[in-house]
Amino acid sequence: MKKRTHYCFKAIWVMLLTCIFTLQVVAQQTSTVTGTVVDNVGEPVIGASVLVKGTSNGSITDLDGKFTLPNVATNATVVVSYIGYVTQEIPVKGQKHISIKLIEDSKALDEVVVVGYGVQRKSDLTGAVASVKATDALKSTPTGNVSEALQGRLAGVSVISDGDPSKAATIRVRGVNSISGDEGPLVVVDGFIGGNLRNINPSDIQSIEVLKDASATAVYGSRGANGVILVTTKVPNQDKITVDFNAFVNVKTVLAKPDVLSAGEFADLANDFKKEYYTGAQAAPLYDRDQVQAFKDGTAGYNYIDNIFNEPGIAQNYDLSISGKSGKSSFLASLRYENTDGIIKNSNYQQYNWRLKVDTEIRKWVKVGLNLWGNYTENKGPRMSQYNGLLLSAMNFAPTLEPQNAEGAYNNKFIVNNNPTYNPMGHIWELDSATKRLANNLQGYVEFNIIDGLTFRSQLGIAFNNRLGTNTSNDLSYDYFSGGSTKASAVSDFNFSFLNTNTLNYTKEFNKNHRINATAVFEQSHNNNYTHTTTAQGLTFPQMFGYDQLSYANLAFADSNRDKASLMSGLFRFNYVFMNRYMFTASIRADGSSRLAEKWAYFPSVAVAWDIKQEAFMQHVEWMDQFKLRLGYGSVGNQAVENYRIFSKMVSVKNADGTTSYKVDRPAAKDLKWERNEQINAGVDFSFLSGRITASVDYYNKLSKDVLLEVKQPYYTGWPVLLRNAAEIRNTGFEVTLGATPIRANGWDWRTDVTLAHNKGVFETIPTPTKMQTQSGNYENKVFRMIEGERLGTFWGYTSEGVWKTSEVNDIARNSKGEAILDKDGKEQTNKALYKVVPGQAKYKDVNGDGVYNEADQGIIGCGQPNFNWGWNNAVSYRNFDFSLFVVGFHGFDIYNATRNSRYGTLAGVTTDLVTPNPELLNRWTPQNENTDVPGFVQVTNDIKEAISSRYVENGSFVKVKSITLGYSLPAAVCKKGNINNLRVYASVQNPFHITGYSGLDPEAAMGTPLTQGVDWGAYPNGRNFLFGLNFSF
Amino acid sequence: MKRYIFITLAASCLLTVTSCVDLVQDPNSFIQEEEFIQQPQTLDLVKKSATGLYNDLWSGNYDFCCRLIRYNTAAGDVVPQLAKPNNDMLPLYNMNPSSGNIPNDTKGLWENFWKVINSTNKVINGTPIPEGDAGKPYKAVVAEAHFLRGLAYFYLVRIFGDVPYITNSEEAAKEQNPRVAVRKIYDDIIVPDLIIASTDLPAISRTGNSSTPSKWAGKALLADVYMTMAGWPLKLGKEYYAKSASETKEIITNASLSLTKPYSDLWKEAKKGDANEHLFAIHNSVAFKNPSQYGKSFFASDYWPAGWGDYFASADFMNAYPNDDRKAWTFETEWYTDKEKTKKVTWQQSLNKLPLIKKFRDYDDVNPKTGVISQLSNGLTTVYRYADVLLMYAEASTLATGQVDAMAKKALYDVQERAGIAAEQRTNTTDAATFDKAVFAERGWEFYVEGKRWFDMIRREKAEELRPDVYKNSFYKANSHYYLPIPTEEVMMAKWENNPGY
Repeated sequence: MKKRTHYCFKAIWVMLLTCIFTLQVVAQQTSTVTGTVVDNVGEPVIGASVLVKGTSNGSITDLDGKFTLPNVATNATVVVSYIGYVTQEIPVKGQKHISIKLIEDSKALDEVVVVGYGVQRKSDLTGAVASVKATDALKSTPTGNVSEALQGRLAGVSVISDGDPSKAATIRVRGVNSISGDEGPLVVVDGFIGGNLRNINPSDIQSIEVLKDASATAVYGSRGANGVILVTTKVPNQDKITVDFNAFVNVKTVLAKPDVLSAGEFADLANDFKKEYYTGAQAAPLYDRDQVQAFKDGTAGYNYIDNIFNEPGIAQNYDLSISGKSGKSSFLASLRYENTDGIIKNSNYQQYNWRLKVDTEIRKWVKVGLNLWGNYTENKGPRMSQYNGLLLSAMNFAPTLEPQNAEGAYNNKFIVNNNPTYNPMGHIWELDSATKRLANNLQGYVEFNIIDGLTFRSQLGIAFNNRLGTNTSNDLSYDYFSGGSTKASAVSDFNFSFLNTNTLNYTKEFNKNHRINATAVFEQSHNNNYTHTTTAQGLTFPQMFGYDQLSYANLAFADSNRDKASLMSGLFRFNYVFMNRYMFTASIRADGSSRLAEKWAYFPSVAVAWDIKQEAFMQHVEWMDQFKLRLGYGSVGNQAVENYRIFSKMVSVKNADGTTSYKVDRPAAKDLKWERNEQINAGVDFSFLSGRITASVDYYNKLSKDVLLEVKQPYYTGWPVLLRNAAEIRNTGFEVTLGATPIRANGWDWRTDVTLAHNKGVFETIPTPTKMQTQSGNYENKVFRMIEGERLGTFWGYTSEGVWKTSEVNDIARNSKGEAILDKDGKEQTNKALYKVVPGQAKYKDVNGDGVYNEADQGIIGCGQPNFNWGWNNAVSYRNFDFSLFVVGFHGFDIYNATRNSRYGTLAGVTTDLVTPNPELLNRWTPQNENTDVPGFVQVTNDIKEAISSRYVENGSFVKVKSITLGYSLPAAVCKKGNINNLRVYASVQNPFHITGYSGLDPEAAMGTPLTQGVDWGAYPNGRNFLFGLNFSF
Repeated sequence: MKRYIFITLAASCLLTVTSCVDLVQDPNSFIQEEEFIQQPQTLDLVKKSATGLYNDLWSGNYDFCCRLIRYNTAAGDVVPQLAKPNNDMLPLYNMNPSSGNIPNDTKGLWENFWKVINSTNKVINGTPIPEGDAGKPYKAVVAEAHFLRGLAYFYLVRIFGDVPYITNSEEAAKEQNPRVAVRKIYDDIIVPDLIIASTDLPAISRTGNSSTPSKWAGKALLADVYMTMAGWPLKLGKEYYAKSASETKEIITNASLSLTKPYSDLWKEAKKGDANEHLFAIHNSVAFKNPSQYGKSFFASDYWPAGWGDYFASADFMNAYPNDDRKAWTFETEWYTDKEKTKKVTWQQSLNKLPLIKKFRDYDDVNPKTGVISQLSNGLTTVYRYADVLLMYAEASTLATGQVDAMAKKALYDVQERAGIAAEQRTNTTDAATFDKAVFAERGWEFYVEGKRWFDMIRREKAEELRPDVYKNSFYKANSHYYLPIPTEEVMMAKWENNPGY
């Protein structure tokens, strides 16, 4: 293998430049200037910043809106700024007193938004871009995880969270575009590609923009297919030093626990089971009367469900930042600590974040900046996997059996059939596993203003990402129980990557009628990852030494992996606005990648917009600010290709004698190319009454072509699947964003925002002979089938018809047309003879009426893809109080309740006893209780193995109140006296309740993974959280 | 002016220092198939890739060693847990399989053998063999692949009937591959492969033990193939029994193999490297991650410390079993249900009222402290051993000639003697029919739970005779064949017809 070392360390000089600070001092003829600042209704503005332009000479207005500035040059300019108002510049011209009336900054149209490799006036946008101010979102949904705060705020951006504290919420922009490479949108932080929203300090964030349509994301080429989230961190713009401190404590409780039988009820049920299921000696009761009584009295037995949940789980979050600006230089330094317990015991997530950001203008024509930031995280948690994971095993474990016996050994068995199984509490009590990650980003830029309007910016970002995962499985652990051997392992990653972006931009407004914005980019990135794993087996001192000394073991296995990838790109974008009303944007990006055999691919886009309001015939419509039509097309790629996938791969296998042999792991997929999305977007934006009402409506039609699919083929070919660019997915939908300020008077301010989104994702092509294919992956994929012409998330299985009643078993077998199904002698036969069924067993529909249950009787039984979702946010403020209410809804989808399925002992991957503490079993079939659809305790000889059936398909639609927050800010006058900027205390309740017909714990948690959305396989439920916090700034 | 000089300098500097990232990135931490197979090809590498084929045959602890036991429950000598809900072994045991009720077994078996076939095709077609004598050691290794391909096809045609004809990657990649008649698969693939195996393989296997086949293992397998071709479904009769007898005779005469004594030593972990009797077996190892599944599955749920109770011994079968040394090793009839060893139950008193299978018990490792026992175990998954050769000769030679020759008599005698059957109870007849019956029964005792019985019953069409009650209402009787369904998805993908009745 060739070695190449040509990193760009020389470019570190960029960083050195950024370390030079220059402060300019001006000395001139001066005098003292006083003044008052009032708002548009004439009320004094308290705390407005007043600054002599180009100096550090500034002041803040007092309780009466008054200010005094000493030493003001007679020819100076005073800059007055206040949040929410347009910043004004007033030439002093020798005046001693200045009265300033601030104008509300309600015209959001003039806002600048980040669009990727640059910014654009919001009014000039041609693509579908959604934007959210981080401070607003965090005010109403305080969180340490910014992805959660985005839920329901951006139309077409679906955000789903579950209770796992270490996970970022699952975000999808306009549906799912990919099968094997669905990794969600690309995150770009301050112009640097790559990042995880979970690892960004929410308080550092200024704004988040989401590029939704392909005409906007095309500038990201092969990485733009899943949408792009642009995060911009704060840039201090007030000429003073500010210290901000935010803290909250979140008390997390369990929204709902699974309903299980108590030990006493279960003891009765187990006795009934034996009586009904067995005959003879085996039918004897499991528990005698005294034992049952003891369970009922609570002197024996154990409540597993109560004991796996952590009540309450506490989350703490503290962040401190110091920011400021002095002349041409600004800085932001922040620290954050988060410690979050999950609501499952022994699950915990800790995170430290840091940032030091410095920007300075060395000369009028050169700016440099440095941004050093990173995070350290630690997380741990018990085994929540689908195969015999904690939640499902705790739910199904007999409450009559204590976790440990008198000698302290685990009761690792099922109580009725006496089969071995691992005790659920062992997952929690024997846990010795943690993952630690350290990420450091070193970023710097230099920007030259070459001539008026022409700038060149070069930036370099280096990222180091390290991970250490450790685990010890002692002789009481699950691993020992299942694998018969103690184990310890350590896995570490060392990841180095860099990104260099060079941007040449020309922005010029020639006159009122012509405005152009042209951007050319050359970008390169390289990633180099090394992973190393050591697993030791048969530990000599399993209780004393685990991963700390991996050689104290009988055997150790080592594995390592080196992954390198490069990407080189060129981009050109041109934006032209004519007479403020006709807008045109075109871009093309070329991406060259090391992952593909055919290296280069091209991604074009074009978009136009027309602001009708600017036309002469609309000028007289005073109440309207904007009426803009947008139309765009773009073609973008999805980097869903694994590194080196164009090469075949051999792996080593150990032989029984310890020697090594080799076999082919996978064939080469030489012809791979990018998955490609072609999207058309049509939208319209309205703004009325100086922005008090805004509305945007977008329609899109997105065809994902060349979608990578492990295409099933007959097994005899040697490879059950081959990776090919073969499938097609089409997503169509519309999005509506409404915003209004219904009340703004007498100290009241009510802002309300509604987002509505409909998306329909359909498989256009599934290239197998059967036009359908099973989904590969873990257990929950068994529920799904990818079918050409059908929606993503389609459930496939048998149709349940309740249970066989005694009379039905003895009836003549008939097909759905009512014709008798004859035996081979041409005689009528009973269901009993034909299907070999007994009364009380689960009944399925013999769809084709051929007299046998087989896979041909399966069909579509539901779909987990929501049709429609919405979010409704209300922010109300009255004087010093603020209140917000945030509600989301998801509608038109099913949930496959695999959790419920497991409680009948018929779910693949979840082993249960013959009877579980499932309350539904109290209404089971018995000869006396035939009118039920719960199968009875009967011995069955012919059943469909682990059937996925409509029995467990439920309507998943729900409306959920996500948060209710009430805050109180100290009055500005008091703040002023205390010499502080702001002090706010607040309380918030998150997920207080939801309205749903779904019988499981949390319908939202069941929607987590996009390709398997709508299956609740012991999903980690969200908690009901009570949060108390404070924001303090001085 | 300074400004422009500076900007120009800075920009050009930036562009040059970052140079260009390299868009050609070859794998750093793995070797490609093309590199591995087509380029260096030292004998050592050929051996390493041939050894990988055994891993394909093992396939997983739930695969070869486990699926064949389940499949063979149709013979009735191994009993699944009858009262276990959703027990998908019952349709196999009750001879009522369908594509819906045993999907995991059909898929497991089908995939297991196709995996072997496609890997062996790569080795057979991809190994460049040097000219002349230098080629011999290469041929000897490639012959292992022929052995395994023959074995895999042999299982497939017995379990599923007609299968596609795949002997290289080009055939595998064809748009459509029809199912080819069983006869053609035997004649054009299995028999030629095994003739190569029994010619090119060394007399002492490459590893010196049963983890790789010797030429004698090749001949034993070929003899089994001929014997099976002679019976159902091809029913080629005497000619093929004679071929089988001739192969086994050569082994008995020339191979200097012998039966391990006592019988129990065959199943001891410590002795699994002995090559006097074991001809071919999968060598399992928990530590090296290719374990067998001979642990918890064979223990009853009331057995201390733990058990799944997947398989029990048939009480009728055990009662009919001769009282020999094998019996005590094969069955467990009483056991403790508690750690203190105070509560002992006999099989009649136990929960399932069935004796336990003990044959592979030496492979297990019960931790007395924690009471944990794994489902995984070490040991051997036997495929052919010398006892098999002896009994095949006894059966085939008798059926070929209608006579019991001295060699056949001695073959059976030797097996019974090693088993510890009292001298007076050993078979001592020259009546061909009686002798044949005794040999057939002896195969049942000797190879109990070794994945052979149901194959014997179908090639000799003995299901009706040996399990009349079950056979009477069986799918097999109704549809006049003994094949399992090919997995439904495979049938749909390949556009085939499934076996009749499915």
